[in-house]
Amino acid sequence: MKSKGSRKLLNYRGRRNLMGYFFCAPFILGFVLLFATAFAKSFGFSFNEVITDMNGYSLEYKGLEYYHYALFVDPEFVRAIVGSISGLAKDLIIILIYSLFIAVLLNNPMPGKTLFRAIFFLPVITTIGVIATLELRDSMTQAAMDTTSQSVSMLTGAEDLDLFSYIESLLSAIKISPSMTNVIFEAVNGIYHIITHSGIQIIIFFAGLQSISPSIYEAAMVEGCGRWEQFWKITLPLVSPLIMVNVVWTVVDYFINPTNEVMQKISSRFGSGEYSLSSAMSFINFAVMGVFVAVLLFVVNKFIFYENK
Amino acid sequence: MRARGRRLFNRSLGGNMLIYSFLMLLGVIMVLPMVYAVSSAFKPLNEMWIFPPRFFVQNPTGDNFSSLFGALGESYVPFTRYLFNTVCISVIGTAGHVVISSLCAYPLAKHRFIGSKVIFHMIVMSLMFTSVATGLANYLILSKLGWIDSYLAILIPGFGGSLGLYLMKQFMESNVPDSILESARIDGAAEWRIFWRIVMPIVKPAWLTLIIFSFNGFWSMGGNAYIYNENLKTLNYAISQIVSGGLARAGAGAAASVLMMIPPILIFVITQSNIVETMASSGMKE
Repeated sequence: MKSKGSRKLLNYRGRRNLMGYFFCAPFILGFVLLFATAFAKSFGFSFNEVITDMNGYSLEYKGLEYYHYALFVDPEFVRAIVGSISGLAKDLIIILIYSLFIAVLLNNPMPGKTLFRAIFFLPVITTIGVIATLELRDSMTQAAMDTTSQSVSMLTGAEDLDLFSYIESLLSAIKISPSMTNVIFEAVNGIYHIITHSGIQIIIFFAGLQSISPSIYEAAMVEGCGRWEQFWKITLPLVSPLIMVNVVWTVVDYFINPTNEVMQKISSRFGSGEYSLSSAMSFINFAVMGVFVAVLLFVVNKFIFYENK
Repeated sequence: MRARGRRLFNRSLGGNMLIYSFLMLLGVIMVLPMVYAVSSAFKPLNEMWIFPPRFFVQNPTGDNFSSLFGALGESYVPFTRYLFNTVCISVIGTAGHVVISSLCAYPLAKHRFIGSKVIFHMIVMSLMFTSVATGLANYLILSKLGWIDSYLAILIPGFGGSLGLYLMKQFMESNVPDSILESARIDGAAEWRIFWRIVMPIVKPAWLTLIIFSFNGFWSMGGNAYIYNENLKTLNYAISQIVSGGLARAGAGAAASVLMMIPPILIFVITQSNIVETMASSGMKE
């Protein structure tokens, strides 16, 4: 790119293209090698029966049979997909608003800021991190030994169950009716779910807020702009590009999460050796999610403000 | 600093109290499971199975930790080997991921070159595909490359996380002013230099955030289908093996989950305290 020869051969635009490819090369190389090939292969599997034997595997063409099975024969698959989409639509907006809200609050100068931030970061560790993987693996052994519900208390992720039963006994001790406690628990459970799934979104919004130059706020304040206006006129437009990232992340996190009903169906099919069916299901899931995200991004993109455009 | 002081001063005392108590309430909800985990780690085994469960430990003991390290010490592969593997994978994987995705994000965000849109859309789409379904095909490819049973099988796919790329691209697009890049180009800086000296410092909050995610992801990596050699397995895998030893190991499990949480939290605190309000546009005079 930098040699004199190429400089003569290529004009400015040509050099610019070359530079782009040069910077992207490591990523694209890995992408094509590891992802695109695997993607294409699995796509092929979804139309063929994979017969494994001593020497490897062979394929037998089956056409759309597996897609047909997933969509029209399997009684639960379509229901699971519809369920996950409606669940997501409900959560998505709440998660986005909540995480922006918390990020703005925690970005304020106040004593103990780092401590608060660390606390709000904890769910990231417990939901996608170490604890989650430990717990997931453990849940298999638990199923066998779960005679006393107590064995659940081993690891954090499941802790809220114990906490709830603890609170429940407390509430019943002060004579609050069970129906009342149920209402309380459902609400609390909803909050807990939202909170534990917004950790990453909060951090992404943090990064956005931290890169807003304080001088913009100063200028606004000199002009007599209140904090309410500052939020709508400065903060929100400047972090709006990150709303896209968060929408994509929330959707992906929801759909690809191993606890998602659809994903559980796919992995159980994969685990029992039905590779073709699980590929076909993944591609259906992928297509549904792709359409969902495309629509969302199209809508959200209308409201995004790009500073440098 | 002056702006900060004034912003705090601007809000009424009542507003501050309201925000504080709200944050406290949410904070308590989030901290409780953590407190419970820590207090369980210090519970003696007989106290762990009390019904109804006690929230706080009555007779704190360090037995769980010693039984954890005892179990780790008895394992076939020395404990330090697992630790080394995990640290190695986390550090190299995180560094590679951050550098490669930032490198790719820069031209995608700031240069319109032929095919840049296609590449970007492909990457966003790839985010949405589940790795479960490609598991078989992935294995075939990795084995053809000869990467099975080596760090490469974990590291190289981990380098190319699409979410990191997406975050960096979005950040560069909105935070790096074109005029800075232009003036650097006029001053004769090559793109490579512009990338490291101008773009990366401006988007520091973004890559510090990316470090947090990426480290957390690599650190929590358990056993997977590509590594068979016991010498190459991760600490998380070793600990989950110990934990699955049944009821008697419950204490060790509680201790392990507390210990394993510490590094990601440390990374978070370190990176967060390193983020100084960047002066993205401070160099610019319109």
